[in-house]
Parts: sequence; structure tokens; C-alpha cells
Amino acid sequence: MMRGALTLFSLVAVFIFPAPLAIAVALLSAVFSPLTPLAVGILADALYYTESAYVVPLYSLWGAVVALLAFFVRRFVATSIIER
Amino acid sequence: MKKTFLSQRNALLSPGALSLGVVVLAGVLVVLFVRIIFPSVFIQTVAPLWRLGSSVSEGLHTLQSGFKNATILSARVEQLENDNATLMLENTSLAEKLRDLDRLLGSDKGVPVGILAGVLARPPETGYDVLVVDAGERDGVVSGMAAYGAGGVPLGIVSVANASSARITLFSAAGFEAAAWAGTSRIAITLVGQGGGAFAAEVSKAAGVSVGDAIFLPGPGALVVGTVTRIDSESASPQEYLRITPVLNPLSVTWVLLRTASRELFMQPGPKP
Repeated sequence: MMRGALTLFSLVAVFIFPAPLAIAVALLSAVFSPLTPLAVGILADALYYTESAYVVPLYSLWGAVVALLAFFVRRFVATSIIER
Repeated sequence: MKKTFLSQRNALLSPGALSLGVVVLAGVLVVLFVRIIFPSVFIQTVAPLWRLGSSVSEGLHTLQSGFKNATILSARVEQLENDNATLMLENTSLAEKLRDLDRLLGSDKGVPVGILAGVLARPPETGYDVLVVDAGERDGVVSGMAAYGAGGVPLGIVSVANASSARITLFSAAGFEAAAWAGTSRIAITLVGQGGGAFAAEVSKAAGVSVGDAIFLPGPGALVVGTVTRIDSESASPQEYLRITPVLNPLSVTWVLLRTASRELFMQPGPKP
């Protein structure tokens, strides 16, 4: 329940909150769902990316990096806390 | 032993977390697909959310302002009212002078026509230095048009025009370069976007640029785009580094006027990663 709500909130945050706040929510949601930052990054780039502003879609790239890190963290950290 | 192994495996790839992530990722990919194939439908669908976002940002700003010292704020309001009255008088007299000159020289070409567009999304929501506006090809917007804010301040260039919306890359986008002038003596500089609405430029110390000098972009005449707020220099270097603040905060832009850009604005456009 908490996981679903946080994931949904992180997606909605891309539309309605300033970027730093949306990023913070996405990072928080990575604890519960590692793929969410990647999804948030792709959504943010779908909404705002334009080639003339940046050559690469930064949100998607950083989302992928955070998702990867989240997987590794979940592997090495004592997971009983993260588990439902 | 077997049970422990399974627990660790679950920790690495928790089924609940993964399935949710996969569902969300698939949903977002569908959104991306719609965004690419049907951009107009996409913009129309998300526009209400952006409007809600604007209201939320405004509310947050008001809340933040409410915590500031009321005395300081009232003093600031009074000062701004005085400045505003002075500027209005100056503006009126300058407009009259300009009208007289136009009449004398016969160069009055009238008010330039443009397309008025409401801003759907702006920094900091957009993250990038990009504005999303609610006017598109249907309204006559084409890529390469220049966007001007209140007071005719140049803001950026239309980079993508869809049927009912357009994206404007701000001049302040990181790495974006444009030919500009500094100060009343119009010293030629290359204005470089720094992201977050800020600019920078490098100029010779001998040029004599000082804090408070205006920075102009070419348009019809010279259009003020920012002011020098700080100058960094090293004693050994003949150059100095200008930190420039925009005169119009892109974070509070609610509408823009889109017009065909003057050729000079395209002298050195070149976004860098």
C-alpha cells in the first residue's frame, strides 16, 4: 500500500512539484521500488526534454543510474527492513 | 540453508517491488509512446496537471513568503512602489521621445505582431531551462521563433512546435550561446547560459564592465536580457568573468509573445551537454 502510494506520488510529483522535490520523492521511492526512479526519469523527459536544451535526456540517464544503485543497495543491505 | 538462500534471493529481486516497478515502467513507456506519436493529445491530457502544478508552486511560494519578516516585506513593497512610479514616469517620457523621433525620421514600423501564448510548464517544474506553452502550429508557431516576456525581454527560442503546443529553450539553458552586448558602450560579448535562469560571459578587464551594467541581446534594437551582478577575476588573467542575472525571472513567466526571431539571435546557438 505504502509502496504503491509512494510510487504514484512520485509520478504525479513530476507534473506538479518543482524538479528538486520531484527528484527527492523519486529517490525515496527507490527504497521500495527500484525501477520507479527510471520510470520517473523517462516520464520527466517525455514531458520536458528538448534536444536544444540538452544533448542527452538527463532525467532518464540519472533515473537508470539510481535504479541500478537501488538494486545493488537492496542486494547488500540487510533486507529484512526493506521487505514488506 | 535453502530457506536462507531464498530469502536473500527475494531481497535482491523482491517480487512485489519488481512487479510494481515493471508495471509503472510499462505505463510510462506507453506515455512516452503517446508523447511521440500523438504529441497534441498528450499535451491536452497533461495540461490540467501542469496548471495544477503552477497553482501548487504559487501556493508554496506564498507560504514561503509568509514566513519572512513582515516589516522587511512592507519596506520592500514601499521601495518597489516608489521605483515603479519613477520608472513609469521615465518610461512615459522615453516613449514620447521615441514617438517624436519616429515621426521625425519616419522609421515608425508600428507594434510588431506576435502570437500570445500561455505558459503551461516552466522551471523549476521542467528541470531543464524549457518552457512549454499552449500555442502551436495551429496558431502559427514555427520552430525558430523567438519568445519574449513582459516588457519585450527576450527569453528563448522555440525548439519544438507541435499542433497545439510548443517548447521554448531559454537562452539560459546550460551551454546555450548567443552574441550580446554589455553596458551602455555596447561591448560585444558571448552570453553563455548557466542553467536555472542565469547567464555568464567572459570579457577583457580593459573593457570596463561593472556590476549593474545591463546586458543586451539583438532584437529590434538592443533588448535588455539581464544585469551584471558579480564580476570574478584573477589578478594574473587579463579576462574577467561576468555573472549575469536575468531581468525577467523565468520561474514566474505566465505568458510569452512569439515572434519571428531576428537573424542576430542565431549567431551562435549551440547547446552543450
